[in-house]
Amino acid sequence: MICPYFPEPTFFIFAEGVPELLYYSHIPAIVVALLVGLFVFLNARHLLLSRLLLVIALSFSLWCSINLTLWTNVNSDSLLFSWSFLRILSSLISIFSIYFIYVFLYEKDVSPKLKGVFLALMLPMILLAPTDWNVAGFDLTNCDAFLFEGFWYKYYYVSLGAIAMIWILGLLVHRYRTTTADFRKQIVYMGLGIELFLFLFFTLVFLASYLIDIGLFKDSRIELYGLFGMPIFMAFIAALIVRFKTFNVGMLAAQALVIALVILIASMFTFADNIYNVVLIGVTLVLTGAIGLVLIRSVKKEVKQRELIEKQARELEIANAQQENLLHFMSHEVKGYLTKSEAGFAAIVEGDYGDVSQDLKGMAQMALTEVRKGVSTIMDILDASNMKKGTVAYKKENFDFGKTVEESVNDLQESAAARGLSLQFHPAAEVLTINGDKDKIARHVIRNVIDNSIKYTEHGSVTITLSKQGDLAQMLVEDTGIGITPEDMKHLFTEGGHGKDSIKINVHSTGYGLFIAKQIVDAHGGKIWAESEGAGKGTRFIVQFPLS
Amino acid sequence: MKFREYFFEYSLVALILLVVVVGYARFMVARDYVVAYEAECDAATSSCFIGCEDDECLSTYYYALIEKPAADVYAQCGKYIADCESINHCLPTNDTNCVKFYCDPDIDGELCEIITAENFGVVETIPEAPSIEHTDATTTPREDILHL
Repeated sequence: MICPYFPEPTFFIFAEGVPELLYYSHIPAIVVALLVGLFVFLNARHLLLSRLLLVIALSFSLWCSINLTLWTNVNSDSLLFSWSFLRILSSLISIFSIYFIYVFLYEKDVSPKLKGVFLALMLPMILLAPTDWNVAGFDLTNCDAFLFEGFWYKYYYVSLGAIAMIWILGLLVHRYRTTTADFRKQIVYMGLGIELFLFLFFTLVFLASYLIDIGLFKDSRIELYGLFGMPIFMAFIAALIVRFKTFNVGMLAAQALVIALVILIASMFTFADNIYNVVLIGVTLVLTGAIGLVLIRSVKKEVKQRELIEKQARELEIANAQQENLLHFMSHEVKGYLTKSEAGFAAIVEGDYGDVSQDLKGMAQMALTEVRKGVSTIMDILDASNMKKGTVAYKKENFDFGKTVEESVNDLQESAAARGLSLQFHPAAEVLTINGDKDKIARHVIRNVIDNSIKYTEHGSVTITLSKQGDLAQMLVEDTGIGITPEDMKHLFTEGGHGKDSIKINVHSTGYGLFIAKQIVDAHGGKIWAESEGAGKGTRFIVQFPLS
Repeated sequence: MKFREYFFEYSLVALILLVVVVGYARFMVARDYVVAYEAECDAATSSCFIGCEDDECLSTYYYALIEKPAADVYAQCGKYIADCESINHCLPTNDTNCVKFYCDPDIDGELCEIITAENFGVVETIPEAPSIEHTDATTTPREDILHL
């Protein structure tokens, strides 16, 4: 039967005399719910959570569609049939919201017992839907069935909404207290989204009906505002996907924003009242869509490049670690062989195998010296590798820095004299006590730096000056050697760092000496650096340690 | 799929489908529901309800309330009831469960009022005696309110 006082709709849902907000509140909500629900489902079909979200989205979309026809259609048969089904959808939304939140919070399905409870709660709504308990008749004058709605049935479906809100709140609070800080943020997002949606949907839709019933309100338009809860909920879902990759789905913020913008502009069609507005909105929509696409492509490209760089960095790190391990392994093995050789040659030189000819003794001595250099080189490489890995232990104690430097200078006098260099030492006016690993500082820092200066000075002198600079003990090693170019300065304290000309002067240099020295100085809270005017103009090495 | 594992889902879908079929059969096929309608009423001879034709109630009309089974209305008037005379009366021979309500100041006192934006809720009673036409002896007057 056709309601006599209302116009029949065109294209099923477009009728005159309906509230302006009707289409704006229903159509975008349906589109947003379906878009997000389907996007999540299609990208994560295997997840129960995504399936539950789809159920909620579909139930809500169906509810909105039916509600839209209730507003615009005038056939009593179909209206009553739709009306009877509407409350089932409301109960599905309530119960599946609880189900959804449970699975989100605990990352597992509910127990069969709980499913039984859900079914029991929905059973009255479903079984009584086509009976007089739900709706018994139709008011042709007002073209609705409010007059014939069952009191208990109506309040039962509203109660289900309230039960859902309270139950969900309880679950959220309980899980919030027992979980990690990271997941708490997700709980807040999801909780706010779903509670706002349920609150707006059930409260305003029910309120509209109740206020009309008691005669306080004539206008049921208030229910239309309740539908904005769904776009709000979906906005929270989108934020969760972008920020936390919830549902194991990835989406760029740019994509989410562009889609939201396009939907917002498209929804303006629902209240365009003349052809000019329609055209303007259409043009704006097309432009926004096109620009949005370009933006998304460009952002995607950048993200891809960044991900590629990150991946390559990770692979490089792995490769470096593998190389390091291999180097360590090989050095260790070679050191073992050299150490055995050293023992053999030392035994010959020291006469453990009886008297040998002078020539043999000389050869053995030379071999012993070379093997010891080899062992020292291997030790440098091993030490550098250990320092990089951070596996070096320091035996710290208070010691006289000045005395240690003096001892090293005395040891190297012969080496300097052999090259025709003058090695001068100027001690500090006072005792310089520092706290550190005396052996490593003496061997790898003091000796290395002075030895370095000796090796890279062809003529002239090397001067070592000790002083107190504030609360620091300073050793200054100044030479008249080949100097350091600005380019070489950048690689001076790096692993295997060689200057272009330095390798010609000292072909046996491993390039690890100053690297190791820097590691040790840094580990003791000190500083080491070099200064030079350039090639051929000598070098100054400055080493500082905090005084004890 | 194991039936036990998906018992909840299968049961839900089955129940909903069943209800949809029953609902369709009731409302779309059998038309087993009641329709309420504002029928014609002669204020000179009967106690009528007064309705407002606009929100300001500048123009009024008289009506009586009829409740008839939809199937009977369809049989008498078809889909379009506006020009159908039968809708305005409970026909003794054809209507088995029809009720026509007139305004009774004693029983429905507050319904017999002129409703305007200014005096919403103020009661003005109609002096004529009430009367109810119905073809079912057990039918009682409605107590709920029809909103104008």
